[in-house]
Amino acid sequence: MPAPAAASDEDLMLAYVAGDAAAFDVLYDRHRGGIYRYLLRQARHAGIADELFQDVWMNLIRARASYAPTAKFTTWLYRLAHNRLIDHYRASGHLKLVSANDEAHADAVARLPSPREDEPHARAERRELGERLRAAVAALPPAQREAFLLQQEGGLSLAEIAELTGAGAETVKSRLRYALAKLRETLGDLDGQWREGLG
Amino acid sequence: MNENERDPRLDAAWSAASREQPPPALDAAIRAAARRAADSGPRGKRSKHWWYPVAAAATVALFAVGIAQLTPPERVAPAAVSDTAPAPGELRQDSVAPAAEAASAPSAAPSPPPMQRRYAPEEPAPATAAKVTGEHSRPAPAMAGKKTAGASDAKRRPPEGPAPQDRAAAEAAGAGQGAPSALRAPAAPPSSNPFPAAAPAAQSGRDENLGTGSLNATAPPAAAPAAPMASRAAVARAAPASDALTQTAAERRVEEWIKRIRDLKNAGRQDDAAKELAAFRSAYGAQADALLPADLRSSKP
Repeated sequence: MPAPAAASDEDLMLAYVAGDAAAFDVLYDRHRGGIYRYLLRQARHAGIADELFQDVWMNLIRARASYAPTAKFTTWLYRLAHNRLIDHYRASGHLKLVSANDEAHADAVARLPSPREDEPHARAERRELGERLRAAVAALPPAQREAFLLQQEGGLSLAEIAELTGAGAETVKSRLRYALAKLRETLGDLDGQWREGLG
Repeated sequence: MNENERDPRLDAAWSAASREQPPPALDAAIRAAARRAADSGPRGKRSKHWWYPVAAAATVALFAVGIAQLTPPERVAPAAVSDTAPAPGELRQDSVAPAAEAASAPSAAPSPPPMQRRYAPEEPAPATAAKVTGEHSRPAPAMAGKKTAGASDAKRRPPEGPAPQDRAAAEAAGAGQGAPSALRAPAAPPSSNPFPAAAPAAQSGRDENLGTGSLNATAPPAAAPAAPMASRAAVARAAPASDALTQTAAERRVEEWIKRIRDLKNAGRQDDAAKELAAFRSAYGAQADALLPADLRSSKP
């Protein structure tokens, strides 16, 4: 029996736990992109992101019996991804997620290419907007980047991000505020293009 | 900026800029793994724990068999044995039977039911037990012996149930078609011999080893009721009994004895009746006159 597409994530997961493979397909289609991009932005390498992505979902499959809908499924799923990332950082010796120093990364954001310096024609600028935004996000401090990605890709609230990362809600709020400020600053001169092509 | 620190313009820009998707091969691999897990999950659980109920049932069955094996047969046997064991009355019946046959009296003893004969050897014969214990036993008061017998009876029957002798009588009545109550004694439980004086009759023509007569011939008359009691004490799992039950049993035996004497008289067997009366007096001593009815009290052996 096909799983209803309107069912909640929690119901789909419970159905999958009960043996409904179709429920997993619906669930996977909903979250595959967000999880993949979250991992891709954090790992910054497609090959590693693929590996991590597969690990996250395999962990979900293995841990399905222990799933209890006490929290949002999305929170649980992104926690699996977060933990897998931490493991990856530890293994690769690049565990810097908790050292969120906004000032230290200000220079990196400032070094992003300015749209005015390029002065390409409009198409090129619109095409380039995405690259610049991704580059700006990549230049964010890890903690701010993670909070931003969890908000954007996972759709998590402040409280959920705080719970997942183990930080306080105010800390998460501060991280997000800093991240948005920098991104706006970077993309401020493209304000017109936002409304034209992306908005 | 709202509470969630979101900027709609930035959200839209990010949605347009971030569109990467996992490779299709990865999708296929993950979906296949999920399908395999979903297919094998429930079966795995079943195959993992299928033996739990079987093991529980086997354990219960094992316990039941073990308990049945370990339960001592005496738990069940005493009731059957007590109902069917050769009471002193049976032995007496054997010993009295020749006289009854000789006189062709209507009170000829019916042969005990096969069940009674089969179980009889399990209960030590009073004579044998008396031989074993007789050296150490003293002539016990008749009432004391009856008290023990009453205790034994009370142990084996519910208080409101019929007395074993009554049950035995009922059984004998079914089997023997209305035999006299005095001769229904074979089915009685081991109890004090109500007719110890019947032993001399047994001496006349019966196997000496069967009856109490052989013992009674040499033992003091007052010790006669004690012999079956001693055998019972050797066999018995004595249990406390109420004095009321004991008293009832004693009275019943006195009545039976008196009835027996009267039956013999009515049958014209004056000699036997006199012997019975003598035995009664010997058994109860000074109490005999108080227990005997006036018509029998006056007749002296």
